Amino acid sequence: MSKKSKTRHSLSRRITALIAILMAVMFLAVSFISYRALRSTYLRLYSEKAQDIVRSLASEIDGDRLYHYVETGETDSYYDWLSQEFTMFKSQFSGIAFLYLFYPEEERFIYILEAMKPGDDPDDINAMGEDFPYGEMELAHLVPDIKAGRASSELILGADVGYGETVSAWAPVFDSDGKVAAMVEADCSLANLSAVIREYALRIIGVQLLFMLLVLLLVIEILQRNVTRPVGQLSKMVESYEHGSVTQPKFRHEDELQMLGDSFVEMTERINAYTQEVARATEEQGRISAEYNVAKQIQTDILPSVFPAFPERRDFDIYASLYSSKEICGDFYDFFLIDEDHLCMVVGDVSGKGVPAAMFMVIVKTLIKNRALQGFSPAEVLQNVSEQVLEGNNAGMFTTVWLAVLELSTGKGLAANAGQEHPALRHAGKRFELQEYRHSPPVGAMEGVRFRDHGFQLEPGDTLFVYTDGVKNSKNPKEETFGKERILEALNREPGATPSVLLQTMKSAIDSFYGEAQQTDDLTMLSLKYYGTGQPSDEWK
Amino acid sequence: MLTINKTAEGEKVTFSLEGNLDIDTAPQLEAELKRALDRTTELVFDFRGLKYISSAGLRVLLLAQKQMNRQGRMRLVHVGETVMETLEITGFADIFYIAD
Repeated sequence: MSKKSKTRHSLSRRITALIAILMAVMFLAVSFISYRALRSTYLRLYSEKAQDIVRSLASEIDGDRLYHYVETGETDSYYDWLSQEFTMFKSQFSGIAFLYLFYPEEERFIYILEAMKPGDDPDDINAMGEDFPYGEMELAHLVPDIKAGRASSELILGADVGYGETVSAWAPVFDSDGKVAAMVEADCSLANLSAVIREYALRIIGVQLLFMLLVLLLVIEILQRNVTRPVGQLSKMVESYEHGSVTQPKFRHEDELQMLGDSFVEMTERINAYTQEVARATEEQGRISAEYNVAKQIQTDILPSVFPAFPERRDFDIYASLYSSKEICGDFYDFFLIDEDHLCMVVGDVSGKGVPAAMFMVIVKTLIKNRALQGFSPAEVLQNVSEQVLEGNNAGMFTTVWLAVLELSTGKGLAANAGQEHPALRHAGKRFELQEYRHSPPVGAMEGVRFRDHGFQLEPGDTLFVYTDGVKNSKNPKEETFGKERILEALNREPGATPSVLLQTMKSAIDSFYGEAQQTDDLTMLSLKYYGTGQPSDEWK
Repeated sequence: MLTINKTAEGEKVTFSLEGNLDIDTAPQLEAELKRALDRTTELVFDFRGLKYISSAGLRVLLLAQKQMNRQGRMRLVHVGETVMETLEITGFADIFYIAD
């Protein structure tokens, strides 16, 4: 859960941070550029102003008179007037730090006059006659102009040559011969200028910053409304799906986010439907296989499967088995003593497969046993059971049945065959043969059907073998049918064998008939060997 | 595999079957019979081409026989040896009317 809450807002935060960074970069860039531009514009203005001043001053001055001051060091009224003029100009332009007039010599310049306005520090102002050698800046820029008689026309930055923040401008004063008599120079201190520029720049930058913040907030708000909030709603919707249903968020604009939301809701509906379907199918499948297992279990449990079945009896030996293929079949067998002297045997095959067939089989088997235990003959039993089955039978199910009752003391028997395969009988000392007599239709097939009792006699050593059509009609992959010849052949390999051996022999014969392939038919077999009142011994073989 | 050819002449319907009538093909015949038997009073099954019949097939025929018992009659013709043997063993030879 912590992972979810951490990531819940990271998208909006990321976008906001990204926009803020971009805006900050833009702001810095713009601020820097505007500061530089502002500064250079101001410098240029200053420089131009300074140049204007020195040029207009220079043009006023009578150069001829200046030599006198240089030579004699004396002042006169003209000098005073000049001084006033200089002072006036300096006062008018606060940017000028020094405004002076000097006489250029080869390697130095001599001050003639320097302006002093109220507020200036007297120590900074040079007096007439003071001289200084040319410095680097002067040599580079001033001296060539002096020689050429040129006023300065470019931005001369003192900073470039170590004078600190200054801008200089000069203009020559010509005498009547056209020679350069003196130079007027103005040095502007940029300290003030810088302060002014800074103040101005900060004001502009401040406004910019404010403006950008407002834009940022606006962008954030717009983003929130159009992206962050809808996306948040979407992700909340996706999360909420965990708990079942989703509520569809409705967005202001019919854009991709709305589509995404709609698609998601549709998908969840489909998933829900599918999940329900799978759950239902799984449950049903489970139910079916549970039913299937139960039915198979019932089928297995309901048929007598304990052998030897009557260990205390020496007058007969009986064995039966049912090998079913994968599905639940309707085959069944049964045997029980009606009384001490009468054995009842049943083999049957219900039409159809699956749980209905198994259920029908249980009903029929039970009805048969009930009726047989009451002492009725085979035909009577089948007649009665058939009528009962037809009464309530809407599915049209029926079952073939072979039912026999054997009087054990005498070996006399009655059998009724309702649609079953011909049983095989072997008389002692002889070989198995099929007992073919008229069959009745299956039990429960049709009303008005007559069942017949067929009498037979067993002598000691006689063996009976009963089977369902799964045995006879087994088809192997080569489309061959096992058939009655193979049944008899397998039985007659060892005709005197006990019932369990006979059944095993038959099973192996069928297995090899199938070869590698899987058994696909249901095999139900029952065998009875009658010994009579004598002991089972080799003689009866 | 089962091929069913149906011919109708008024209220008489003949189904000619070719192949095997077993658990796989019986539903096919059952479906056809459901459609065909509404106004039939005489139903004939021609088994000339029928090679094999299992209990599932017998069940379908039995249902047809029960219905025809109410609305008319039914018979099987040209029944082959193998199929006849099955009908006799299963006792259905007593239920169906088998003619030539």
